[in-house]
Amino acid sequence: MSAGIGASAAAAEMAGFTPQSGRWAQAGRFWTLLAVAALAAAPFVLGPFQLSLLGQFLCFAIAAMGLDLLWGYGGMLSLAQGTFFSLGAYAMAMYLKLVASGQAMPDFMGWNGVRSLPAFWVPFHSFAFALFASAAVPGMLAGGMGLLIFRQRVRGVYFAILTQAFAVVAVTLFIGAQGMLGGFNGITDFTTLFGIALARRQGVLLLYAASAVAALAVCAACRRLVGGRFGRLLLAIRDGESRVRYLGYDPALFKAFTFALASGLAGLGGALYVGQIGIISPSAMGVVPSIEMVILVAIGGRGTIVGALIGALIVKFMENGLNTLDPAGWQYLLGGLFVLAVVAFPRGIAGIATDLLRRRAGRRRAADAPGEGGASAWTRS
Amino acid sequence: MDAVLTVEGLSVVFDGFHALRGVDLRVCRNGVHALIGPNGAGKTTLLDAICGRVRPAAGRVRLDGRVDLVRLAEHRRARLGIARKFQTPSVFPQLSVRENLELAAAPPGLWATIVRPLSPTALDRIREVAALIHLAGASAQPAGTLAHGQKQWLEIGMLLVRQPKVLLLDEPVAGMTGAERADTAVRLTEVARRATVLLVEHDMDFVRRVADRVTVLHGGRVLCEGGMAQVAADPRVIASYLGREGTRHAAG
Repeated sequence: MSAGIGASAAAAEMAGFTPQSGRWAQAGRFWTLLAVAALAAAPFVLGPFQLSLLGQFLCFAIAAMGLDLLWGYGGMLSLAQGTFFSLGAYAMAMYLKLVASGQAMPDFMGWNGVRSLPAFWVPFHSFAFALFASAAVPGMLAGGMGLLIFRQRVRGVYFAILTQAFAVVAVTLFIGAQGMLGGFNGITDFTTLFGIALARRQGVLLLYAASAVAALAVCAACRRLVGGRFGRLLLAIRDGESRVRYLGYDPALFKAFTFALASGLAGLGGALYVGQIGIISPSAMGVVPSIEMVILVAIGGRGTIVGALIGALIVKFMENGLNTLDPAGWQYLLGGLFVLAVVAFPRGIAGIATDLLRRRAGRRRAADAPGEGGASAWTRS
Repeated sequence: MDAVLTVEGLSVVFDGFHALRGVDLRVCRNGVHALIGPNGAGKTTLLDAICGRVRPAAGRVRLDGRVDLVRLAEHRRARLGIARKFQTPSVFPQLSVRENLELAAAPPGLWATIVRPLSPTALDRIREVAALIHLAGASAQPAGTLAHGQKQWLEIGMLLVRQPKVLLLDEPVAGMTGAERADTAVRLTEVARRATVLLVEHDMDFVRRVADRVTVLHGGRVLCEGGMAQVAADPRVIASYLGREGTRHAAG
């Protein structure tokens, strides 16, 4: 028994884990390279309109990856990620609107009888502050709310309902803020960013590049986070919160942090999104856009991060293609896809892809080294 | 004798039902202290009140004669050295044996969990405990696939890597075969060298083998306390719990 756990882990690896995980890492590197190459090649292949769409969808993907951390790993279903996404979008929209107004008071304020720029708008003259606020405001709101909710040991569907209530409250408040935030119409008519016209090819390229870099960075950071002890602790909290408590961890703190992180990422996605779509209004804030984000993750596959990224892109492109044909039909199809994902493919696209890859690799391995089992190294990598 | 855990006048009330009525208990350092008594005597409730699972209506729980634990949240008590093992094994089934032990051995702060790798001393503790619980050869195995007895020991191992002061065990041999019980008794004496053990158990043979001291609870009160032979000879204990059979076991 003096062999110890480390030595036996090494022995277990020699007995069959290394070839699998090695090949898996290789495959992972291949797909990462492919994804980076595809995103880098997109500006040369796609027209400005298509490129802008891809950029927008990458922003949803950033929010979806955050939601995967929260829901896929932490088991906390938030129905307010669309709201946090919109809060980030509003923060950046305030900066862009000030630029478009020549740093003066935005036009809609004058129409509503506001005499001078409200104090909370003043810091948004700075791009750096707007970018920071786009992630920090949703992050801090979610973190504070999370601490209150999770300290009370509110869990599961009750957490989901509370987040939904938050979304409804936010929509109501923003619609009411006619003079301060444009009310029902929201904030629109942006012109330039850093002197580059947003509607021109250069502007599209700039925001696409920022979105692509951010999406890849978020993906890498999230994968790293869940690959370590933090990710395993999230799974442990999901499966046995009280057990974790008796090991000395404060689950409420970890859950609130994850909620804050997911919401900060949603806000970042929104900040990158708003310049590309050109408008943000309370209609993007409500429960429906938030549920759509849940669907993106469910179809992409929970608990993989990459699944959320791919799912967001695939579903959003499908939505775009079908919306032009039949907008009402899309809602039914999306609902149908969600039900199908939940009932038939609970691990989503990522799960199906992993199974296919594994089967292929399994065949190849069976050809060169028969008699190896043990799929455990595959499921988590 | 030096008391590691002192319970003073502890009362627990559930919706008008008095589960504990002013319990006093001194648990001495480095030994095995057993709580016995009929069903509903309040044994598990006492463990729950010590680890923070239930809030007492009155009373104190002191660790090392100083800190009053009653006001602290569960995770704070765990950090101070109170380790609780529940009756059913509760390991993390999706994680491997090694990952289970790592989570237990790691410093429980948020920042440390995100950025800090495990210290060499923590890794040493994991290795040593894995050998103690006879799971060193199964480190990569998902905990969900372990046998019942192995899960029980993995959970005890997860508590031991934290180097607790007091280990609270709720019916550790429930559901085990006779051979497993004997084995657990042997290994428990090894465990008792690392932490003071306070356990609840119905198996009187097992209690007689492992316990240095026994407290009998009845109706939420302490009925009597002493060595197993002494307790088993007490007429009140025979009347309320052990009966004739218990006497024979304890004497034999």
